[in-house]
Amino acid sequence: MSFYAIEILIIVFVIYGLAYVYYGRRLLQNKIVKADPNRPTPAYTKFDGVDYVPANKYVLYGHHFASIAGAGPIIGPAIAMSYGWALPLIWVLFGNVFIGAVHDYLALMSSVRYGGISIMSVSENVMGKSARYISLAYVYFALLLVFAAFVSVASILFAKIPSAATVALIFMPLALLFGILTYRVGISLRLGTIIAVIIIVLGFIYAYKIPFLLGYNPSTGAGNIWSAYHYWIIVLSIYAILAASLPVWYLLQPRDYLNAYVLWFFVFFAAFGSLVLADHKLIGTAYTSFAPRMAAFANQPTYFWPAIPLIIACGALSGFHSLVGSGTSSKQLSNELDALLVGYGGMLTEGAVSSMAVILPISLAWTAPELYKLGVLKPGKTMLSLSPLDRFLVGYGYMSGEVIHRFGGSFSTGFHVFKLFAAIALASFVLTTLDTATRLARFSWQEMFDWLSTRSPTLYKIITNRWFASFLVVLIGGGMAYPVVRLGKSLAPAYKILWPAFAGVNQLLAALALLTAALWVYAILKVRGGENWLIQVPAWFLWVTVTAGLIWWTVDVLPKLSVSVQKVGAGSIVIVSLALDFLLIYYFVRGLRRASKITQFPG
Amino acid sequence: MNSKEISGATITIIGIILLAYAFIVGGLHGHIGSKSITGDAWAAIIGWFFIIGGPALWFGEVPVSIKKKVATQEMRKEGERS
Repeated sequence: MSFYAIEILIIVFVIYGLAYVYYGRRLLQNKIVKADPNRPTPAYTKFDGVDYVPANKYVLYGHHFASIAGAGPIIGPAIAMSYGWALPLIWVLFGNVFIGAVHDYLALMSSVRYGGISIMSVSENVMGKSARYISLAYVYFALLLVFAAFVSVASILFAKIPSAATVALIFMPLALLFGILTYRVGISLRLGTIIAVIIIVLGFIYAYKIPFLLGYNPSTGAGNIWSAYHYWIIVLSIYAILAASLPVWYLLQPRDYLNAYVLWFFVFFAAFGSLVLADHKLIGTAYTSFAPRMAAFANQPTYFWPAIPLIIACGALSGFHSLVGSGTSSKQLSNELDALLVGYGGMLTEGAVSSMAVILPISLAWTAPELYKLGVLKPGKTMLSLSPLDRFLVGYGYMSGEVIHRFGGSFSTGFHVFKLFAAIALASFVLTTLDTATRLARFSWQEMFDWLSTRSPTLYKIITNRWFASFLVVLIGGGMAYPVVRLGKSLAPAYKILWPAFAGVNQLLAALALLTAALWVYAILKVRGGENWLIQVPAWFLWVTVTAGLIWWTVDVLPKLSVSVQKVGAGSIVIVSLALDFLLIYYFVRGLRRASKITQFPG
Repeated sequence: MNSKEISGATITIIGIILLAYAFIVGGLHGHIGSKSITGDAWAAIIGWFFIIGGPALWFGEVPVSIKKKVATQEMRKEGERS
């Protein structure tokens, strides 16, 4: 059975549209959380001009979407194409609607109801103090790893695709200008947006022609790529300290708002491509195997269940999102009704990135003759022969090139321009996530030491100083990314020793965050009956899946890792995670038992 | 303007000049920077940081538009209480 691109597009739109209205608005917003537009949000009640600042809902949506969309919604589905396109698409659609978007929305709203504290601190109210501090320490460590990974990915991306660096050079000052124009000069959001979008387009054209080389020229091979990598690590680390410590209205809000336009264009062009290429069949294989061997899992048979959440994170569900929702977004939410667009809508948009901009284009490009002519694919090979990153770039470039060709342009030019655009969109995702992760790690750090605030206020002030706390994140995270070590036959950044464990750490966090939110719904919001089960069942399904996935990884994959230092590094993290997993589930069950005794409603 | 604002304005203007220099040189050479760290690459990086940090000193306070929004909300809340 074969499908046309347009059919997939319609399926995606219908499912997400229905989910937003019925599952998001009617069920979550109106029946479960009972969002109230008149209830003051932490952005007002705890306004401090730095982290707690009310934001326009579209600005906040832009921030939330750009922050949660790291490299995950792109690289994960590209890896999962080893199953064929059908299973990853099903997981992205249904995992997103019933688990991921629910997780994001509830994390955001529970945090808002508790004054903007993180989901880990929310857990104190339903699971007790120990659960809170264990979760905070776990999350802090996870965020250090996120920082290391993202600063490393961004640095490699800028070293290899220097035009993406030129765009960043133009984009950040532009975001500041936009913020000053709208907040200070007082021009309307619409006019400011038009001016900024025109400059972004001009900037993209400039960047296409003028790359920013920092010690390495990828087109000639002159210089040293690792030197360029190191320079970028330093530059981006300094950037992260600044961006994570400065007030949100100053850089974060305007930058992410504008970023959302770039990312929307990226998604819409993919959807537009599906319309223009409506008569194109998906030539990619719909189903290959339930347990293909994948390089990311030491070439072991990788069973779709329970491994899929470890492969596709952000596109379907990701623990990192609960940190963004209950970290930066909850502190900027202006009205409880905005949470639907920000939390639930932001996650559906991310699913759209995975389905329309990654899975669909790769399936269209699978064995396209044009790619053999350009030398992108070797004779007899499919898109699976490329690295996951190249699958995405080539897939997006191919789809766009075909669209340009339909309108009389050159396929080759369209392919190369949009391949670069896809790389820039990825860089935008990564850079935004980088400084949001730094800010979130700062929040975790500050919450971890809140017990000091009454015992030693001066020491508390020093330890939780925002510049110091951000610097600490960058120092440790950057310290994991900067050294280059030999892993097996090739050189790699040092954080990769621990990286194989990250997917498990992140998704375990998702399971625990959703369980916390489910307990909040049951114990505090007192939701019972069918509506309660619609939250409890996905929460337990996710916990069982992720726990089974971690056990599978420990038993099947860990012994087969070829680099022994990775076995020790990543292995010990997964084993600690599993221990923590069972400890926190004990707190959860205890919280469930105590639920009937909890009567107070938080302010 | 107080000294903080003056230094913020100065840093911002220097940042703009440095970044503009890097863009112009980049336009002439076909690329900013090279296989080694050249003057225009330094100008781009320093200018970039100056532009990100400078306006924070220059326009440091929370914008009036946000303050107004928060004050309005607070007043509404007070009104509801009384």
